Amino acid sequence: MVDIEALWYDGHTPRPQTVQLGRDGDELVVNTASGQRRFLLANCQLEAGIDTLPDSVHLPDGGTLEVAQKTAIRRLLGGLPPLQAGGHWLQQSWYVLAGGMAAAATILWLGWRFALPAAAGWLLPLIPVSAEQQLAAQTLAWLEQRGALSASRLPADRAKALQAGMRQLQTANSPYRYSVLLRHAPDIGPNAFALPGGTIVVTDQLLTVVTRPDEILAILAHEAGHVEHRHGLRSAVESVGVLAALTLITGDTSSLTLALPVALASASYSREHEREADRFAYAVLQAQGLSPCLLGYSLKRIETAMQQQHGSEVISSGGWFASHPDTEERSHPLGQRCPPLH
Amino acid sequence: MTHPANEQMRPIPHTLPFAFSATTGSYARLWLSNLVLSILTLGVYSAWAKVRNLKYLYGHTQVAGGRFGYHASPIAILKGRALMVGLFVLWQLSAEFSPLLQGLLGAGALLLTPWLAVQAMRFRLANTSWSGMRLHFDGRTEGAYRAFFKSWLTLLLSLGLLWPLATLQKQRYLLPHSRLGRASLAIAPCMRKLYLAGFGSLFAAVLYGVGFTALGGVIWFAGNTLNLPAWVNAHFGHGSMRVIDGFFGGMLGILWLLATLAYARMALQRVLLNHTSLMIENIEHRLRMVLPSRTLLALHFSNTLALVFSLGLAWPWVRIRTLRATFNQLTLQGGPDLARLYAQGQSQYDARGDELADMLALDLGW
Repeated sequence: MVDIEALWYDGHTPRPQTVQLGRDGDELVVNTASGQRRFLLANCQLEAGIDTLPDSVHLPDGGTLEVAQKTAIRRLLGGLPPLQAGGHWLQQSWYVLAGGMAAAATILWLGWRFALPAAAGWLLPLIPVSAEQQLAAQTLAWLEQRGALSASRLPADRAKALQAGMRQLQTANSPYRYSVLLRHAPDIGPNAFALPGGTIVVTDQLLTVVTRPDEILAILAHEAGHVEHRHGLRSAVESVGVLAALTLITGDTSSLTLALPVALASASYSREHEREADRFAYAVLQAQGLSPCLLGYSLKRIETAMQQQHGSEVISSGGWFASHPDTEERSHPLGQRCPPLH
Repeated sequence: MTHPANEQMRPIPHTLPFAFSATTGSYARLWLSNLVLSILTLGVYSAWAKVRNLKYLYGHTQVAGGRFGYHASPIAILKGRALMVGLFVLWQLSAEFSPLLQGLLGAGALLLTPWLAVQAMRFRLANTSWSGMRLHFDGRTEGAYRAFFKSWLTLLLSLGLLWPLATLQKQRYLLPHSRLGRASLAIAPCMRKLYLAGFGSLFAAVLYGVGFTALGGVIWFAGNTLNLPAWVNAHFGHGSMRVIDGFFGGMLGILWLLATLAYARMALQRVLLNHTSLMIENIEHRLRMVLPSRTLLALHFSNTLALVFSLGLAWPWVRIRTLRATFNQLTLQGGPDLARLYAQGQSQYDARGDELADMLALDLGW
């Protein structure tokens, strides 16, 4: 018989009694001032007190024993349940905790770099092309409603030329049928963007900046790369994944504090998508017997035009928050050096 | 209600202070180990993390010599979280693909809110103890629907202007059903004070705006004096300073919002706490929280700064000092004899639960 001092709360009244605990075979013996009570050990639950808090033993009758002598009570009852022991062990030592933090950082990195893109890649084929087209129609309607896009002010044959160029790029085994829309968009500026499902929007402003047809073709090929790799859906799935994972891990902190990591992760995924679309464009251009340098040239022209219009500091390229890779990097297709643009 | 006769018989109404004894150091270890294990287990441990977290914080909160305790099963919390994350993902994806599905989800969530509130209160209180006695929530779902719809109708008809009344309408249902034995909680009318707290929060927003703008100005000025922009542009390419400027401005905006929201939440909580009383056999014992507004302003300003400059690592310090500021200023007035409280024990109330809730036994929300 060991004697361990404990406070006994009966669960009905708030005043505890001081009692002595001991063990007799498979029974826990509680010696109170008024007599002795016995409980089967199997029915008593030991709960570890965190840090300096006392351990508790939950008794089958709803009472609780609060024990400050933790080593003694854990030995008496045969140790902590395994699940509780884990957290305790990690909390005991700063070295173990530092190792755990390094492992956690690795897991986060692996998840962001490989697991989430792989999960998105597994999920994407399950979504039908018709869903993409529906999504594209909504986005387009929304843009037009906001007044960001209006009817093209260029001659009608420019739009026809674009459509013809696109038909030239169309690969045989693609599930998408491309349509190119030419739109007047002064707020968006010289730009082209792909909507999921095969719709590519080109702005009038782009055609005034990039005048050579083969360079326009390079841009269309890049946008087709976004469509073929389903980047619109991919970003949606990836950003939802990042947000869900972070919410699950951080739990009780405010979701506003998650804005920074989510923005960083989304920008990084976006740059990866751009590189993938670039590679697609290079391959298509080469298949057409055109130089992959054309894409870099057209991007350079857009950048120069933007700088002339808005001043030299408008382009944000290459940074951690940038949605597109550095234009310099994109002007070296497949590692080769392009002759400078005149 | 207090009888005048009783008032005279009690010579000096003494007060029972709350005490909060958690320390930053030990909470920081707990927080870090929780975070590490949550990541290593891909979020599964977060349920255990929540339980350990609350066990620690409740265990260090005491009133009248009795400590609070938290006893929820992590499995129940895990089930609730899995459901919440699933619904969250569905919600986000439906926003992309189908506004109709999102509308249905939203309407469903709205219709279920009162029921969920009852479930959450039952779960939380049944798993909370004071001095070894379990609390419980004895509100019925019908009552919750009445109270919540009344509150929403008030908001809708007054275009949100009567928000304090709407808050009180909910609290008047939730608090009286929160019980410890025969003791329960009650809330006194405090619309005027709630409005004042609202205006106070707007004023705090202005002050924080000035504070963060001044701080940003100082940093910007210091950077320019050191010729930082030229150096950054030279080393990271043209335009990188513009990105940094934009990011810096955005961060200041987020900080301002975080600080203001934290202030507003605590200012409203202060009013509600100061009008809440513990009812024991029809005698009311008011809660009282003395926390001057300037302390509150300084608290959340410094909290936000600490969080930013430590990249979030100061969270344990922020959490503990905020809780300490709350509980060390909280007292129970009128000297109730809490030792006379008697709880039946939990079994009786568990048996009363409807089957669906027992089958689900979820903890919803964070």
